[in-house]
Amino acid sequence: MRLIFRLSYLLFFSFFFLNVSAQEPIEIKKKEMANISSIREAGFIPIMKELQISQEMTIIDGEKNSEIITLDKMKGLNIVNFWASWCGPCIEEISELNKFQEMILTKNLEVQLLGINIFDKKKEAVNFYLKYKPFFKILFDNKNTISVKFSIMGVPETYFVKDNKILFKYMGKINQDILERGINESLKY
Amino acid sequence: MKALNIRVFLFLLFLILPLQYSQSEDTIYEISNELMCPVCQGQTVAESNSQLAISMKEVIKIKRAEGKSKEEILEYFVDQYGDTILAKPPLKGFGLILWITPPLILVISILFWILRIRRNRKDAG
Repeated sequence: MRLIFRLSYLLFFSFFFLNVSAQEPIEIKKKEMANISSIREAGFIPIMKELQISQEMTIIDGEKNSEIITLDKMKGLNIVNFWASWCGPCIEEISELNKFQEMILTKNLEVQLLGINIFDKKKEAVNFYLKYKPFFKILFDNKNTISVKFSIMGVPETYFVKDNKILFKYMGKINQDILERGINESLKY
Repeated sequence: MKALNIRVFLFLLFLILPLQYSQSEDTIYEISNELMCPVCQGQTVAESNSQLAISMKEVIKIKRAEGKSKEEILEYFVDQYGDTILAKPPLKGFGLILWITPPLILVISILFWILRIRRNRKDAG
């Protein structure tokens, strides 16, 4: 009886350790590890992934025949905020994002703030735009697939993308403090 | 004769077209049924009507139209959301432990009870 128990323990643990050791080694440099923990401490979720998109988006500007652009490589620091018209926190954060856009313009910061509407119909996005009048560029996802390309879990979510690499994201209602913290973190890369 | 040929061709076309359509729809369903909806509790993408699941189905449809295989599409989603997106754990790493542990426990329990019954019989004898 004991022998069976001992053998089963041995089998299970050897199997477990063999599996763990067979996994790919994590090759993250010490500096990157320190940066990742700093991102977490600042309240963000680290992603560190190259962005691969080439997506047709409509600029929402309240006009009937809005311009269609292709969103592909994002140069410099981009703050991408995803929202939907039916989402309460998205409505609440719009004033904060507007204030932040004002700050970008007055301080002449090299940051682009972008709002992308997802999980909505275009008409709803336009109505939202006309009602809340965001100062920053608003895009509408024509194909309804960009959420997967950014690995979105819900709205609102704000991504910090630098030179086409998604550094980290913030889930939930954002404010100026968090945005400034995000910029400071992004400067480390 | 020519008219008959055209009729036969059209008949065959009508037979094949819905078959192809259903095959493609089946594959989309099959793939979405192997992916967990990241924002739902215990629902696959096929079962869910959440906005994200709808977007995921749209991505599957586009990738199928691009000629991507089921494996390639599943790999893409794993790359985007990690291993937890798969409805069935992968047969490697920690996933393998999840597959092996239940039958292993069953085998050990059976052995345990067999030995216990044998010992009881021996003691009674």
